[in-house]
Amino acid sequence: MLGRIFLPTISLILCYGFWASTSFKDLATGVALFLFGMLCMEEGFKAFSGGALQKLLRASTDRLWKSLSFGVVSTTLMQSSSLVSVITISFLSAEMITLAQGIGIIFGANLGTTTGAWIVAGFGLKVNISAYAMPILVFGVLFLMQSSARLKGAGWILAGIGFLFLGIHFMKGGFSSYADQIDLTQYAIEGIRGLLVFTVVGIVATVVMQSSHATLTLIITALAVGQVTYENALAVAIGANVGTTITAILGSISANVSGKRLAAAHLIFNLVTGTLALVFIGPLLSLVESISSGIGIAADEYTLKLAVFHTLFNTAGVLLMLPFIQPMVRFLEQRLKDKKIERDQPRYLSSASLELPDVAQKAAFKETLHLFDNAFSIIAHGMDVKRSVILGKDDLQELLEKPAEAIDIDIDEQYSLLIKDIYSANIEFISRAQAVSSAEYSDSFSALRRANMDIVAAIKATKHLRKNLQVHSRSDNLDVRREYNRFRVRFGEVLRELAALKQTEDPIVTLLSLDQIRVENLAAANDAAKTVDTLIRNRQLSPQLATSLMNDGAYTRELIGRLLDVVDAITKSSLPVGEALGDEMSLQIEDIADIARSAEGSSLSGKLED
Amino acid sequence: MKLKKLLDKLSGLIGLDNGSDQKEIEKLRKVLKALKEKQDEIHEKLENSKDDNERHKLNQKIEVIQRQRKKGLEVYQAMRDVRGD
Repeated sequence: MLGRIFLPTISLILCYGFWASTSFKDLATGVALFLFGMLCMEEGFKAFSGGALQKLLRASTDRLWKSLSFGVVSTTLMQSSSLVSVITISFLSAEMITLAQGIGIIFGANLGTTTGAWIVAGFGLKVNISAYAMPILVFGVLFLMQSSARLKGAGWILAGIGFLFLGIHFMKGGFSSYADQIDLTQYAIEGIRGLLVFTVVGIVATVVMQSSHATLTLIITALAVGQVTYENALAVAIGANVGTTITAILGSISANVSGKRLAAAHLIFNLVTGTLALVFIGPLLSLVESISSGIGIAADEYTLKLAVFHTLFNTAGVLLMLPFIQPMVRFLEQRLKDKKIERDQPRYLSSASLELPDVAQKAAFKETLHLFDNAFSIIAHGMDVKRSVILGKDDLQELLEKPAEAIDIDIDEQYSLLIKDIYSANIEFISRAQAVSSAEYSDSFSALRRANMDIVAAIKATKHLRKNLQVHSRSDNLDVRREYNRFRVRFGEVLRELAALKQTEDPIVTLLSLDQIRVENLAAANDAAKTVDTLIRNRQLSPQLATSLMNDGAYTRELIGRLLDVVDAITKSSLPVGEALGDEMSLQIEDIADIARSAEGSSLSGKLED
Repeated sequence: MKLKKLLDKLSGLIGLDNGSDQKEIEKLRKVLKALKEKQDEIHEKLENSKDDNERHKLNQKIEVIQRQRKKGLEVYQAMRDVRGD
């Protein structure tokens, strides 16, 4: 319910915002570009997962000291802890590193970011990597157009970084009207109140400017001209450290739960560090004084002393939080859980039933039927045929000319939800049961394994078929539509006959009945091939459509063949050990082809009337 | 010929396993009877059907059953031969 009203509500708010405020428009555009950049980067990193980059990442972050160093070095080079944190979130979302490794990098990034204060305070230099955003974007798109998967991946990453900076640029623009109003002299307050107020100023300024570096530059400049007191400047630096997590939080919106956990870890770390810095501001200041005099910083060199303070409290925070990385991982994994997806689970399998081969055989049999039942719906819906239509009494030929009514189904998702776990459990159970059971049960277990594999193969054939079926069974061209609907009708008729076989008491008669369906399937395939030939000859079909139709006809034949094989295998597994009558009386493939070809289908009529 | 069938025949020759042989024959008779009933049902449908397409399909079904019954009768004959009836 909430989900249904969320999208329209947010859309309305955005529309109003766009109409009412240009700043809001810039801000929203910035957020959208930023999130799109995150998605691009994630896509790019996926192209490298399992490859050299992942190996390099693993090797660079497999120990705590390595992940810390990775964070320090990369942030020092890029001069942006925000960029390092969002890239780390992308790594995590693409499952290239673990949460613990990610936290290590984030801790390192917090240390690396302190170099910024030194550069600004010491050299008055500001590294502005966002100036490279546009060239990066251009190279990204250039790489994206290449055919190599690796180059494409690199293109996605570069385009992602470009969009990130473009997003930040727009966000800054959107906030600029608010940023102009930040006049620090207005808030010059002494004592604890001053500390708290300026910490909040630091947080707000960093959120507004999307950069802790920018805030530090601002405060160092203000400090140099005496606009703020030294203590208030320290509070702004603490606030900037907390405010900088906003970028990671924003970046985690589009990330999966692992990315969200890392953003939460980043926030926890910076909040704890900031709080401790505020609580122990007195001792920290004394330490800053001692260190500053130790390394030769003059007593009135407040800008450099600010850099010392920034480095000191971040280092102290990292040292303090290091032992808590694993507890933090456990806490975050408990608190932030993956969206719970209801996946159908095996119902009849248990390790205890492996002790008795007969019980194990029955359990595997029932579970295979369970799997088949789930597959029945997926396949029927994949073919745009409702289960109720198959099991009903209406003439399926009526579906032939009408445009097919679409059934919304994501086969891959349904496979994960209804098939995968049961299928995996069945195969494992059957293998274990076969290993401990006597040889007489071997054929039955083999038949069940075959049935399971055929069920999955049938779903895959449906997936292939569905691509064209969705388009052509609703085509304006009646000939095309009819031929594609013919696949649906043929499939529906087979499923209806298979469902009717459930009423048959004798399993051998069930097995023999499958021969009739095989003949019909082959005859229908032969007829369909002749129809396609005629349509090509009469130029009613383009050669491209004709080949699609032929390929899809083959998929339909495979799908139906697999379904018949499933019923064949399931039925055989239920026969008493050594029972071979079904095999002895079943028709050979030549007989089936012979009857399917026969025009009259009654060559033997009369010979065996009694 | 399948190993099982050979062993069954050998058992029949030396007079062993007559009971299980009898069961096999009973089962076969039951299946043949079920097929005959099915064939009659289809025949009835065929007589009432005017649709060429349906008649064609029904004829094919009949032919399948006839060939299966023929194979069944051959198995039946082989069993009787082994028993020496």
